[in-house]
Amino acid sequence: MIRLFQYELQKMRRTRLLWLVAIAPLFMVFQGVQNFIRYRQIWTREAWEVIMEQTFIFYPSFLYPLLIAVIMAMVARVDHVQGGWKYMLARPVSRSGVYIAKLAVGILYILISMLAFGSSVVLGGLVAGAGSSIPWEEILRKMAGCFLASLPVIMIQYEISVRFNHVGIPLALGIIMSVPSILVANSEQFWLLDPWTYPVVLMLGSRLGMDNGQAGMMNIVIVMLTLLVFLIGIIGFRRRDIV
Amino acid sequence: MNFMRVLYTEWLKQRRGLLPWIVVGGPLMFAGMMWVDLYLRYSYLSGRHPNLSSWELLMQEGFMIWALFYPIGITLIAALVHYREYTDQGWKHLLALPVTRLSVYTAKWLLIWLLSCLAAGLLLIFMYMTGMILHFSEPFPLGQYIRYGINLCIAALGVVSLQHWLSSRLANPLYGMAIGFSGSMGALFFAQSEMMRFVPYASALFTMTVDNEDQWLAITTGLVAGPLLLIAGLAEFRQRDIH
Repeated sequence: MIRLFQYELQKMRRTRLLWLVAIAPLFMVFQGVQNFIRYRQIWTREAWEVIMEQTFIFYPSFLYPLLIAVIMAMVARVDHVQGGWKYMLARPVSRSGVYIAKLAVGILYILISMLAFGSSVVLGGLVAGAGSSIPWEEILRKMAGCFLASLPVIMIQYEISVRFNHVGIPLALGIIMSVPSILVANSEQFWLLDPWTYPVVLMLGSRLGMDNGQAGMMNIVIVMLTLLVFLIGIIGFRRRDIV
Repeated sequence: MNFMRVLYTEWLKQRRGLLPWIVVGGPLMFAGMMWVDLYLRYSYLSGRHPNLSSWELLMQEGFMIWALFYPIGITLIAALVHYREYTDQGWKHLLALPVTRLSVYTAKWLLIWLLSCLAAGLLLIFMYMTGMILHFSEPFPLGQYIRYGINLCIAALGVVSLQHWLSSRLANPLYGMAIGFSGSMGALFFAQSEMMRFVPYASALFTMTVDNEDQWLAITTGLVAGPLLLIAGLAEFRQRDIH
């Protein structure tokens, strides 16, 4: 299992995707920090609060789901080209192991990207002179929430990427679902039906109302949907004919 | 004549694929979103902008989200147009035919641009239909909307040339898309900076025709960057080894 994971990591290493997922979030941070500096006189609230609000605003609805789509498409693509699946599955490896190892590598990349985002928020805040009382706990809590809430989306993107060898399908899905998510997240009830809004609700949660019943419902949906898509994916992958 | 046939061939390759769905579906989904938004919040929005007519309100409310996703859509179109050539060694087969590289490159460019314009045109039609369904009382400001459409088509030029070249250069379509996504994400950041607002990805943000004095930015960038990048890309494409 661990060896499979290492193989997958080797395959991804040559794709140079790491640079991209680490650099793309910087744009968001630049923009947020720039806003903070420009309107410094107007902000009356605590500096770090403004920094977080300004840098987080487009991340969960816009950049983050697209990064998930690109990373998962890339993880699957390395084997879609040049008959990779056939070569790999002809070896004495378990199919479930392959499915899980690839998923794990994708998740690792997502976490690296989040780490880059989080640390650049902190760095940007320090450079902009927001003071030394860095709200570590809140940043960590929001990032962790964002990641956990996106698990269903990660599973869906991964399964679609593995199942279809056309790279446009998972990406089109990612784009189409991320467009309306910030609007849907503003609705009273509908957002529960769209897993793409969960990271938005959690990360920008202080400004969008959510009662306890809805929070509980969301947690149930996250767990159920994640497990369901994962099981459908892994069973399908074990049974499917690879051509 | 030869050029027209190459262009038509390119269209035939795409006709049955994902591409027409994206070109029609993107604007349709966007208009649907605007319909929901205005249906729910019309009185609030018109209270905030009392001097705007309903039609101007519709454009004002939607242009930002559209401006962020328009370059992403163009990125996807460019990637799909090139995707065919990188599967089954399409480039070799295509360039072995008695066609010049010049006509192949420009035909693909023109197809991407025409499809981007088509998406912008459909956007106007769908926005008109949205207004009709919502029973806007004012007459439709045709000139204003057509100018918006023309601005969008011109703003698209720069992005089309850039993404066309990237997608033709990078065998893995995900790289081109990832760069396009990051550029489009950075648009808001680019648009706020004196120098960077001429980056093509930001152009669509200046296309709106309601109280907007920056339209010249979109037009200048499109008309300068579009042809320039097309020629630069073409020069590189003609020299390139295809393997």
